[in-house]
Amino acid sequence: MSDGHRRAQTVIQNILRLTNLLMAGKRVAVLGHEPELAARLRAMGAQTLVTDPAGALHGHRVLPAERALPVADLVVGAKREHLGLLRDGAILATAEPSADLFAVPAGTTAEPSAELLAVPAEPFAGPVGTRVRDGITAYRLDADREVFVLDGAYGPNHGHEASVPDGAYGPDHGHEVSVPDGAYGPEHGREASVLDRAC
Amino acid sequence: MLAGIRDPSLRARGLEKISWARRFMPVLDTIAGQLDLTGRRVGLVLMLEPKTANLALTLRDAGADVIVTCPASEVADDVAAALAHAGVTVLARSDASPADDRDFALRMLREGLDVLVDDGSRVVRLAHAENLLDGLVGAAEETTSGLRPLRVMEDRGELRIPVLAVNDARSKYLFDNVHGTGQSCVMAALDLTGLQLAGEVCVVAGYGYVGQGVARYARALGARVVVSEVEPFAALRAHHEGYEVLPLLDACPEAGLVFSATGVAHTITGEHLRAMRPGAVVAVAGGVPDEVETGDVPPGVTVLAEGECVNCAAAEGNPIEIMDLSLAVQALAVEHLVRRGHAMAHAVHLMPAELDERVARLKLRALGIGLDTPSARQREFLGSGL
Repeated sequence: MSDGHRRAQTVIQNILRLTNLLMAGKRVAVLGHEPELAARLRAMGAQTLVTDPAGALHGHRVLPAERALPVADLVVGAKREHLGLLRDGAILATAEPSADLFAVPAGTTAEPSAELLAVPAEPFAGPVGTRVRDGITAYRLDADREVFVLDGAYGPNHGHEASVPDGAYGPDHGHEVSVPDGAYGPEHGREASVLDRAC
Repeated sequence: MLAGIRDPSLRARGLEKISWARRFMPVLDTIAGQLDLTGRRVGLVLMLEPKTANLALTLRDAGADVIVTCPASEVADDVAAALAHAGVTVLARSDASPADDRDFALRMLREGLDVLVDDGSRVVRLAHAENLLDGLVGAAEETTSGLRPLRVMEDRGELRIPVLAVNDARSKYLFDNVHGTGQSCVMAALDLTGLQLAGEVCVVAGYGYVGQGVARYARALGARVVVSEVEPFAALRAHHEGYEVLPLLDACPEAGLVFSATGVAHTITGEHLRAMRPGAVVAVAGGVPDEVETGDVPPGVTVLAEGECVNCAAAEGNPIEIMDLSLAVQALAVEHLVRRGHAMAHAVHLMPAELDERVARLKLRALGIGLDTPSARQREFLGSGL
């Protein structure tokens, strides 16, 4: 079985287990080259939004990211540059830890630049997420928009057997989760490999 | 006497889960503002988890005194703690024995309910057997398998209260049974086993609403799906929807994953289990006791969740958006019984069509989906009787 097929099922399992939501009828933006994932999502009843024009031949809606993201209920493979485009309530299955997504990149000042985030810099001056459920952290982007980031739904652990996050909650549970600056070590901040890998 | 909940300190985590679910329950949220159950006592017997907790809170907010009970295997103790803290009487804990569960149900019935919301009709039948029906205006039943024995009781003249068949509302079974149970049972089986479905053979016994959903989601994830049926129309339907149809015993040797979706006891017998290959996994979707005969499982074959409904016993039950519909129907059923139950015959009744449709329209509105209206010429055509 190809990596793409295996990853497709695993990502879908992670998303549904973490959220307890229904896939049918969701508008799902699939960023990056993930044809197997997009096909599986479509077969489960999602309205898939992809950027590759060839996707139209497989029943996907083809849109550039800047038009897909504002309508997407769920975004697979979101990166920092997409934050400014998200709708309120969007759920993100990211290729990088949410800390990476929202934290100030190493080597910059504490004041993130608007160009890096493509969103008003202010909300990220002290990026703080709130744990809303096991494996889900809410980030407020601005007064009108809050987004939810899923832990590891599309992360480097993909392809392995789904680990049920029982007891994953430490004693910090229920408190605000402050983004652990640099807590991820030297690998932290690298480009997401999943998105770039051809499948 | 056993305390009603297992651990009150879990309530913060339970409240989080309840709040997350509420974000995706716009229909129940709308209906919540329109109910009046002041001074009524309502008993809920539903899998105790974040979605049903929102129904309990909705009924409480409408003025009802709410009591919740549920068998141990379907209790989330954190949700139970949050509900108890919110003023709901909870008699449900994950470490209860079957005798405790029965005791909890009896305690709930002795409180003197106006309306009972049941799942599997276990407590409705218990109330009949123990003669605890005084004051009970009626009951609402959530499932296909719970309605079946109630209809048998009705035929025998033994049913002593009106029952609303919430399961048979279109807002419920077209979505909950197909998409809710279908998606969640397939995903629960994969979460529990780590099985990759692509290229696997998945056998689905029973092609009713639940079986159709299980088949659809298993196929969506790349399985080759084989359906087994006893009923000719269901078998033909499966055939036309592109599934291979085989007698169950013939389908077993190839199967990597077998679902029983019949809601009938003794569907998967020892003979079927022995026909399966080592590594085969068996799960129940929907479900009644003994749907899989678990007494003699051969080595190498795994029966998930000890043969109980896999998405309830081993995962979080149906998806939230689906339960928004089903529980909205339940909320309207409770109010309907409170208002009209006294005048209803001791029988199983369908949900009034206008209440059913109200739920569907509210959901469409929440999704931002518009409907067309028949034009004057279309209405004329329809009115002409052609």
